Amino acid sequence: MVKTSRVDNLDNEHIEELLSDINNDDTFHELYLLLKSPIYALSLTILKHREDALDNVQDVFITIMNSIDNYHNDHKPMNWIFTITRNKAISKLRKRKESFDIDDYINKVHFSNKEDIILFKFLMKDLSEEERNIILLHLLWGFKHREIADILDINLSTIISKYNRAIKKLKEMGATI
Amino acid sequence: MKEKIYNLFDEQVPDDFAKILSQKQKERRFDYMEKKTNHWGLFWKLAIAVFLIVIMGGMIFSYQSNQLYSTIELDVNPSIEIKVNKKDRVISCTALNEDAKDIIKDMDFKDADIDLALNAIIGSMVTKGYLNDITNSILISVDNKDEKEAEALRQRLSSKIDAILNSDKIEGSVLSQTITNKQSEAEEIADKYHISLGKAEYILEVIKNRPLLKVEDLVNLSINEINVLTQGAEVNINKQGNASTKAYIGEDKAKEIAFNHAGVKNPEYVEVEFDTEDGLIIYEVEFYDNTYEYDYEINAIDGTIIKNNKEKEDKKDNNVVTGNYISETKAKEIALNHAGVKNPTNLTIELDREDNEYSVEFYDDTYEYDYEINATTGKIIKYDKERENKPTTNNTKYISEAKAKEIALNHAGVKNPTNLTIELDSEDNEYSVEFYNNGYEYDYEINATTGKIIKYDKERDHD
Repeated sequence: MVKTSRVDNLDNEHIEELLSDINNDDTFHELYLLLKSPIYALSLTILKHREDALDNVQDVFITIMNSIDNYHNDHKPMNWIFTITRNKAISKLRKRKESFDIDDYINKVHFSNKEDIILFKFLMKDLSEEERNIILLHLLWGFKHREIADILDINLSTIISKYNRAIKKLKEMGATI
Repeated sequence: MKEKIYNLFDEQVPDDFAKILSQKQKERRFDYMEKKTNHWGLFWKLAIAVFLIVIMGGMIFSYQSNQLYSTIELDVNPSIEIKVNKKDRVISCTALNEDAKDIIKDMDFKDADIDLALNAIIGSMVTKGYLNDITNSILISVDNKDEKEAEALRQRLSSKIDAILNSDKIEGSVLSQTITNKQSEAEEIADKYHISLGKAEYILEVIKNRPLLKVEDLVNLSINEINVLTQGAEVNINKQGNASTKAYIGEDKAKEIAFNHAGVKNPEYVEVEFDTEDGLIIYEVEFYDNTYEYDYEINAIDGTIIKNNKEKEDKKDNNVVTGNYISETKAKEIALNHAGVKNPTNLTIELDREDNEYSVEFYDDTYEYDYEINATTGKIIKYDKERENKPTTNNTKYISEAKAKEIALNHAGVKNPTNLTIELDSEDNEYSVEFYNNGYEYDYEINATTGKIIKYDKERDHD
């Protein structure tokens, strides 16, 4: 597996820097590569549909590009991008008869190894909706527990205990933490 | 863990940046055109302003009722576009193809309620034989800038159409969608083939799930025919009821025709699927006997054989697809016996017909096993055993959580923190400690081996 260290650049400061030069296509591409993972993950947890989630990733970047003037340089670009991602995804939600079929999803998508499939199944199926949101918002989006409490409208101590429980489950599953 | 989860989702998203860039360039061109119009002289601007004032005086009255709010497209084979105002009253009704002209030729819906117009149009489609038990599919697409409005109208109109069909004793298949963000690709298809935007959007959705179908094959088919082709495929569209296949001879009959023609008594691995060829709906029948592989394309309406093909397997090759495979259970047993594993976890088994082999994968407590087994003889072709990437249990090199906590609290000068969390990130070799005290939130990153503080942060807690 190719090791990327891209995730190390996933912080507000760096992202704000990229946003300030977004009209440069190379910078914009860098921003895209850096953020497509968290944006996709959040879109998928809301939409539970691969193509819709991929569409949402595209829409979010187009919105970022078009409404960069609306971003107040408040050092919290991830909050801004999170809001765009969530709102765009929610507006895409349609009534679906089918429920999210994880096995079907796994068949359609290329995973680089078995471990990823197991981890993905665990995240999307075994964790509860809340646990999943807490884990992804903390680890992928870099939100603090207090911010997550605000976003999900759940009190802080619940967030923390749920987070710890989910991390414990992840550990028990055998993932290296 | 962070990196793992990041990479997990990252690899699921192909780099589609080119698409975003092309969208960006399109918008730039548009900006440029707008700017260009600004270069018009002041004279022209004034002249236009005067002209508009004069015209608007007369128009302002009819403006409200003529203002486009939603566009509704109906596709059966006749394709009709209806524009309505905010009160769902018809502004215009346009035939998008020849069949549609036949439907709406004498009708004038100006200012009529959309429900009334639908009643008349669907009624006419039923009378003229475009909608019946044999072709029962209709596509309705609602285009409105506001997603919620579009969705509400879609729901209302699709159940309305269902009800109209029911009252005509037709079990319909009503497909419906909203169009809020037009795909430029769909617009191109609609323009090129003179079909409705809704049908173009539907075709694109179909192709996502049946990538072997081509746009040019689908544009000339009726909605019912496309609907039949996608039976069993997961197309992203709202759907009530199934496409009628009453016009067709049926899978069993198609198989019988193919087997008889081939003279094969005991076919193996028979597969039948709807497909399309030269604007016709066909059954594609595939099967094997001991020596040959057969391929048939059969006209789904009259059962004539359009194409047939018989291919001999290469006899020199020992891995001939003879159809006499060992069972999955047998293959599994061979692999597990060889590995000496009794209770495997996450076992998967797959038959690769081309290579004539089973691939078996499974885990036990310590290892991951990979086997390739000849599907005819049961001989093990290749196997592989790898240590699973499990965490080591004795991490003596780390300082304890309690120690890390103590370091952070001492540094912060906090005795009784609330909501303290501590996490060990073994990949980065650091503890992350978060806690609250006296209106502040503290964040520490501490080297998990040396106990050195790498980074800390104190922020006012706004809660």
